[in-house]
Amino acid sequence: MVLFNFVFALAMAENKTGRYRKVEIDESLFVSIGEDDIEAFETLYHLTERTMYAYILSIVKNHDDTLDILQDTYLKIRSAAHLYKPMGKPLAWMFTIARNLSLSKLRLENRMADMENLDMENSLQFSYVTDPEDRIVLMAALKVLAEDERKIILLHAVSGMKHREIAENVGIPLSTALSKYHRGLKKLRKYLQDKGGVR
Amino acid sequence: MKNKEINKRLANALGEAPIDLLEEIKSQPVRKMEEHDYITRQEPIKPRNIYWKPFFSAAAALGIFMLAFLGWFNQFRAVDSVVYLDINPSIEISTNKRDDVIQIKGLNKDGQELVDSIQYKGKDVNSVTLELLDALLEKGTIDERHHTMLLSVLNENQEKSRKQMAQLNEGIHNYFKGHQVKPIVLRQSIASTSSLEEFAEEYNISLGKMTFIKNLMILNPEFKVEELVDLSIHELIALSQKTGLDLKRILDIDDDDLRELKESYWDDEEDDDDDDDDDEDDD
Repeated sequence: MVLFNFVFALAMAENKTGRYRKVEIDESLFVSIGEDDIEAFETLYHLTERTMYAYILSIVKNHDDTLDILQDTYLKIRSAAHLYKPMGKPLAWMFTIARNLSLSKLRLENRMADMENLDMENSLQFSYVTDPEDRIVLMAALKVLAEDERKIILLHAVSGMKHREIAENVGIPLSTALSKYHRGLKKLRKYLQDKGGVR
Repeated sequence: MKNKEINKRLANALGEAPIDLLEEIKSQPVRKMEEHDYITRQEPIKPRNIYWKPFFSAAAALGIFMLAFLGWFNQFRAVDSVVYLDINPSIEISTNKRDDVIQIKGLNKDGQELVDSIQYKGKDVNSVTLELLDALLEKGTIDERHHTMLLSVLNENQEKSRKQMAQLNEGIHNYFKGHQVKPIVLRQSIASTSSLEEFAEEYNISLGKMTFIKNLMILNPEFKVEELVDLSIHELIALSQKTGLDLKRILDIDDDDLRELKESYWDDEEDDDDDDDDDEDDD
């Protein structure tokens, strides 16, 4: 019998376009990281970097801050991996760390209110996105969506996580995740349509 | 623009984000934390507070009140916690929100024989546990050599789960005060998944023991589930000690219990050695 990885692994299925890598987070990775196994850490990093980036960006809405928090999140994981107790939701723990660090940073800089009014479209921080339409959609998501809507939509888009998985890991009921996802997409569509620049 | 295209464009945009932090993170010195802080602590995932919009009509409010009332009524009578006690007999105790026992089941043959003699109606989980200990002592299942038990609590509310475990742990230790038997109570808060439940059912063991086995396999990937499911808790502990596993990573254990466990394990080892010596003498 296969060592039942599936019990403590999160599988993110590949989507139809084949864009997403199949990702599995085995909780035993944390045990190895706790024992300073650098290969295990690299594996975890490669599996989760993009998903964690999307999650943090949905909270802080700023690329540079996202990178700072992402780095702090992985450093925290290295510091605390030996304390991790397997509970079946490894990604939820990573999200908890990232969220606590994000909120701490936002509180520290007292920028919550300012960020809500930030005119993202004038910012050059997403100049790394080569396709202008891709950039407009990302900036629209950061500008018009509420935090939870943004989180659900970005996680679904970037990692192909199912709504049930997002709900479990973010800590909201499935029905809420689904309604926020659809409401958010509707808002985005309307915004982009009103803007007229994007078909 | 359609939903599919929005998703695709977001995936494209985020896929291009220059991240490249790995080498920087690897190069930084890391100081291991002695315990979780508020950033890393593993809390149960709580549903967010619901924001009720102020313009709800009186009728809707009444409807919500009725639903809440019905929800409360159902929860009051429904299973709130499930406590698993594993020694070799495996026992499952279901309780309601007031910690009253509403069902008790033996999950293996020994467990079934044991629970037949227990009157649980109208009693709380602490009293029923003490009655089980009476029966276990009477049957000789617990004695000076076999006194290790695994206590697992399944409750979505982690705080409640911890509280219930602490109360039961204290009750068990108080019960044995002045007794020759020094109990070793290994504790774990567990979560249920369909895969774990299927495995537990397939091997006729409790969800608590299945969780413990799963976690042992995380600590030592060379373990095979088929080799572990037939072992008693005492044997699983002996195996984990023999292979040098740090049980505190997967279980809550009082320091006194851990000391007792280590001494007890070494006593067993010495007895085994004595037996080997005897065999050699016989030869």
